Amino acid sequence: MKESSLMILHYITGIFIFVLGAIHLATHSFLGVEGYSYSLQYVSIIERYRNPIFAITLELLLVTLSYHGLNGIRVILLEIKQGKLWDSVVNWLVFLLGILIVTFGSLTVMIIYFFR
Amino acid sequence: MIMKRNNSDSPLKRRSRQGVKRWIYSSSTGFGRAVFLFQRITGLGLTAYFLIHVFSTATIIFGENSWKMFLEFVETPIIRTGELFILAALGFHGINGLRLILAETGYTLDNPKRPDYPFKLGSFNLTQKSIIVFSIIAAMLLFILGYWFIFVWN
Repeated sequence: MKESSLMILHYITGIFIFVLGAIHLATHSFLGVEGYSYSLQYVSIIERYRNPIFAITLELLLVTLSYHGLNGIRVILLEIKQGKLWDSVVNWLVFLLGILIVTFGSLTVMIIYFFR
Repeated sequence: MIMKRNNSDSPLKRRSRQGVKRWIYSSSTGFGRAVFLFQRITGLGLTAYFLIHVFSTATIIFGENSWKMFLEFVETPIIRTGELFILAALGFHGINGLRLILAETGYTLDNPKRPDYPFKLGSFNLTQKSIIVFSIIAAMLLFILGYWFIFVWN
């Protein structure tokens, strides 16, 4: 993909995170729960995870935030130093880290949603 | 020691060799630059928090006991206060990020005009500055709200 398309995707995911992140914070303070410490109790978390809208929100937040954060790091690293080797190393490392974190997070969401 | 400067290099190449130091030099030339530097620093911090958050909250898949152990480790005043700073960084980064998106797509900017003295930038007008001030207010608000939700209301 072109760098400009990647950057437009960066902005679009940014807007998504603004909305999804607000929902995520709300579900840990006042939306459907009684307070912060209750929202962190095992029973309440499992109960909320069974709601498909909650699970989908978390999954979307995971994907968009991984892209946004890791692309941000990539852009900074590519600005600090230039070179063909450096570019490809940074791109691949960030890509692999992204795959790792999305897989790991998705596994957490899926395991709780389907098996707990 | 006098450093020999290689004049055959292009200015762009010389600038890029300064690396991260360039950010700090740039930030001294204007408020907008300094805000952008802060946007990057908060972004790095938030990404670090996000990576830790995804891997640490995954302990819930091992059952209730491991989750309780994790909560005992996390529910200390230092980590709870750290979360408030994460919230503040989130408020700043979010609102200022929306400003950057608006500016990138051409909204909130002045129309092109003839460059007359005192050469005020149409790309950094009152709207832009007010959004920056609002982003700082949003950071403070999230800090206070977070304090209320975490420590007071619970």
